[in-house]
Amino acid sequence: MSELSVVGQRVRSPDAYDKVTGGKGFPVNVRLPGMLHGKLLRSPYAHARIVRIDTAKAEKLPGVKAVLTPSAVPQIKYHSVFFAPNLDPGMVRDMLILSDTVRFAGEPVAAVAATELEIAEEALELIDVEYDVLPAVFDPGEAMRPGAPQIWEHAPNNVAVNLSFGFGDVEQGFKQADYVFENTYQTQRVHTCYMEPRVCVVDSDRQGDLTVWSSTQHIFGLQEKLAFALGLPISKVRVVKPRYIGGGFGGKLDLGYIEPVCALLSLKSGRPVRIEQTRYEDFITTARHPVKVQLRTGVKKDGTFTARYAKSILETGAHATHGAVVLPVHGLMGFLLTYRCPDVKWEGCAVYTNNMIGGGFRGYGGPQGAFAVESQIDEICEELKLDPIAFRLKNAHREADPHPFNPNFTLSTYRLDECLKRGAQEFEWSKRQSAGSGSGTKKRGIGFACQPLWVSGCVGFPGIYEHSGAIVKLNVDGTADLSIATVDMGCGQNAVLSQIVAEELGVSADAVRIAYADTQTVPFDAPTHASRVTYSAGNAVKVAAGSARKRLLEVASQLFGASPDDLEVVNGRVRLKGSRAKEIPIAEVVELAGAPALTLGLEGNQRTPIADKGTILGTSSLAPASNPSPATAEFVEVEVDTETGEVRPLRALFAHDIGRVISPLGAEGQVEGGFQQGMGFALMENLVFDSETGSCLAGDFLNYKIPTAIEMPGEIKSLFIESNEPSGPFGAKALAEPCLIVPAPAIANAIYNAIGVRVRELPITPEKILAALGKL
Amino acid sequence: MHAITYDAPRSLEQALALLRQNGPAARVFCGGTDIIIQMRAGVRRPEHLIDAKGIPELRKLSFDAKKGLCLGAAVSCIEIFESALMRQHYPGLTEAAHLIGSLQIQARASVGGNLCNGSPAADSTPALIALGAVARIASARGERKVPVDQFVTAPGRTVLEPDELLVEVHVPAPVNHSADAYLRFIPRNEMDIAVVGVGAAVTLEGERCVAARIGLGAVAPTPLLADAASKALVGSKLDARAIERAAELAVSASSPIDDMRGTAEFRRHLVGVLTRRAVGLAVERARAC
Repeated sequence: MSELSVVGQRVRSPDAYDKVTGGKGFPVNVRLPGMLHGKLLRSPYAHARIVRIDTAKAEKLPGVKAVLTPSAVPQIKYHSVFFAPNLDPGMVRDMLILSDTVRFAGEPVAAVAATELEIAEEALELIDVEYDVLPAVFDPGEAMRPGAPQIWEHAPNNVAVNLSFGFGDVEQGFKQADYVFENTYQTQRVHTCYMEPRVCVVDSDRQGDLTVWSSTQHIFGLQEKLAFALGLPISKVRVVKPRYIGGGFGGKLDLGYIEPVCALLSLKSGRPVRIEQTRYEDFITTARHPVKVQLRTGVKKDGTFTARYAKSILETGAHATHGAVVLPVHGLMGFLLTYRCPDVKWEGCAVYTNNMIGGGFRGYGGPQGAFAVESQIDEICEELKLDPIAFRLKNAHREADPHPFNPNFTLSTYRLDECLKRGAQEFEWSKRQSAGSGSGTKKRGIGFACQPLWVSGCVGFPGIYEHSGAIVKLNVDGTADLSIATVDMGCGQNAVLSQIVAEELGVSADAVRIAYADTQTVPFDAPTHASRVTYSAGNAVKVAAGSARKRLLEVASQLFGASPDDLEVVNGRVRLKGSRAKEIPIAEVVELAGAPALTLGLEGNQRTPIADKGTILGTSSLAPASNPSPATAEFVEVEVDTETGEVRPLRALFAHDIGRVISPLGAEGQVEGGFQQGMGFALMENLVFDSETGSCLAGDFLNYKIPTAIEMPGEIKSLFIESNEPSGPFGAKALAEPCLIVPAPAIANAIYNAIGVRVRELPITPEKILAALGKL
Repeated sequence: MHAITYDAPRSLEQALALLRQNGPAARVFCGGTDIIIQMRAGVRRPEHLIDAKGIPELRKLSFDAKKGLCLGAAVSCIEIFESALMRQHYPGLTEAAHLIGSLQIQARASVGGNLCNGSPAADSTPALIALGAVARIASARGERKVPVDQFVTAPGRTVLEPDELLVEVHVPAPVNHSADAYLRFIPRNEMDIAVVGVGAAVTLEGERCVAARIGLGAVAPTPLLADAASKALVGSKLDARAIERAAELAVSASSPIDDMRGTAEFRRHLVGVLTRRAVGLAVERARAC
């Protein structure tokens, strides 16, 4: 590996100062002159047909400028998911901007725009809706039974999507097993809890051209989906790239109700319209799908898998949207391909209910899979008295194996074995006691889980956008502007991409500026999702920066009288390779390249030394070449109060192979944030709905429990086993998702180790622990 | 939208006059940490808000070794737990004040407000009940005193008449070898509403318990004094068996409901655990002083 000067450094995030001084770049802070405030009227019923809507009183309220009802909006069925094209046959198009049938409590039925938010709220109360209330069903098991209320005509038994994958002969595989284990695991509905609400402002001009500001993970997806839902060509919709957004975690990866509603309200009123969702509205907008996973696993005495079978029932809620994709991602990457096994089969279905719509959430089906798979492996090891680490290593894929996700690729860098061994050593795994052996009321336990492979994007699957593009433009002051559609949602994408550009150009990280951009000015980029930005967008910016650098050296070669191949850029200066005799700052080269051909001066006209005029820039647009995968192992120690059932994680250690670490501060932040979200999923978070009415009972941060800083363990260590992925930018691979996927099974396994009882249903609350201990 | 009248009286007299005129439509508040949320949620819709923070009598925190503690209704939680005297003499009540909300909330919220809000899950109320605190109530008609264990009458309701105001709570002076403790259970460590709260206070003479009070929160429509459990401790040596018996009686005294924060069964179990632990902690402290 050649020496790197910016990659791998702990650089400050380029927008840190802006964020801590008010965050002007957050879309929630966009205000336009003459802007109206919109509000959605939401159904109190979980399943109903709208018989009549009377908006006359609302329209007469002073300050109300526009009102929308289902009959006044385009009735084009769409799917809302950003990363798949509108007409992708794998997607289910069951969304309408406003429909005359509502299928979950909180589905919008009308909207208003008014000069003040309070007037808009008052106007909602003046809209009279007559509902024909229909029978509703909230449990996926009940929804599939004959005679259950039918939510959609196109989905008999309320099954939205039904899939099956496998290879080998699974029944034959079970015959070869010495032992067969069968267990069922259930996960709950959780929210991403992004800090910035879903919010947008849409303006329209007199030609009906729309400009959209939105807290979104994908400007091109928003443009495409919004245009489709409105029945407009995409050229009529321009989406402005947010400087950064206040979190997304997959929760802002689809077209919401607010963007099309604001667009129509703006077209109707001729004014910009803003809608900011309340926290309650955010809670019923997106969530990780609850999945019930039934596992049947055949193993030899030594722990070798002979057959693996799983059946997953995913609850997608009132609309299919992400559920149609989370399901196969969960089945394939969360189960089928994780370990080596000759005979494997997975079956799954996404089931409609009259609950809120499920959405994208970091891990995208992985956490539900890993909780089942990694819990069961520990159960098998406990039963057969096998070492859980050796068991996983025995069944794991190995470096240089064909890539299980795509046989066109190989696992060129894959250090799961080192993650497990070094992680175990540093965590002192060998000191683990046998399950439940501690004394006293508070018992400690050590647990472990891994995610052998994971990337939910850039996998080369059909039907998903993969490509990225960038423009790198050099400025006369020696800085570079990076124009790219990638949205930084708080994970530090702006920092990572700046570092890659800086390294490639030979300048410092703070010499790279992320440009203002919109869908008209930058090349397409797939969304910020699926742990793909560092790898995919990183490759794109590296190519663009490399192309700018090439042009820079061509121009500079005229100043050195040397071949561009003999030049290099070090610390922002061009020089002959290895020589410090003559160094010309980039700024000077760029200025000379852009200066007029003649310089007028006292000593007469001077011809500038560079004849070949122009801006020095580089562009790229490309799809990822390969499909590397990170490997992840996590060790955690917990303390369980056996009288109250409380669980406290005391320390955690993650070992990751993510290739080369581009931005260590960002990587550590991802890991720690991942643990916090994973710990909430494991122990306390639960988006609860009333089982009679379907209304949300946990729509605020008092009733929806997320871990605070105080619940975080005193010690979280990030161990990066660095490899050099040949297809990655400067050797990098992905990171974002696995650090959230492994905590739940690691914590569940640690709890088992502490108290000797197993909880197979998340979240593992104090009540469930006491019940498992027989104390309730 | 509805208009609200806001008054910030500078004396008790002014406040009582305002309450006499506007009582039924008015709501007295200190930090606003409950009322503002309730108004936003439409739970309470007062037309008149009376800010009690400017009334000198309500801001007083005074301690006398003989007379005990006079805690003004508007004294903030921070003022309580930053007071060395409070930490020394009433560690349980101090712990309760320290558990209410975040630091920002503690800067505004008061124990008096916590009591008047009438929540069955109020953290400071079981601690006050354990200490035998008495509420001093004033109105333009005169004054009266009500023991804190009788102050809350139903969820969100108290003995206060529309024209009345809580001025302060009075806590008896601690005697030798007496101490209190407060413990609560919540699903996480901070920023939450109690699933169960238990306050305990004990007084020792030698090894024997001569006085004990146990207050329970979040396990009945109102915070309550677990009378039989308290009496079971008196006369005992506060050994494990005596404490276990008190815990069982505390469980019997509770009548919790199932809700999102916990089932009734879970809460009853926790009443037992927390009673044992709170009494144990109070005993440990009493023996040490």
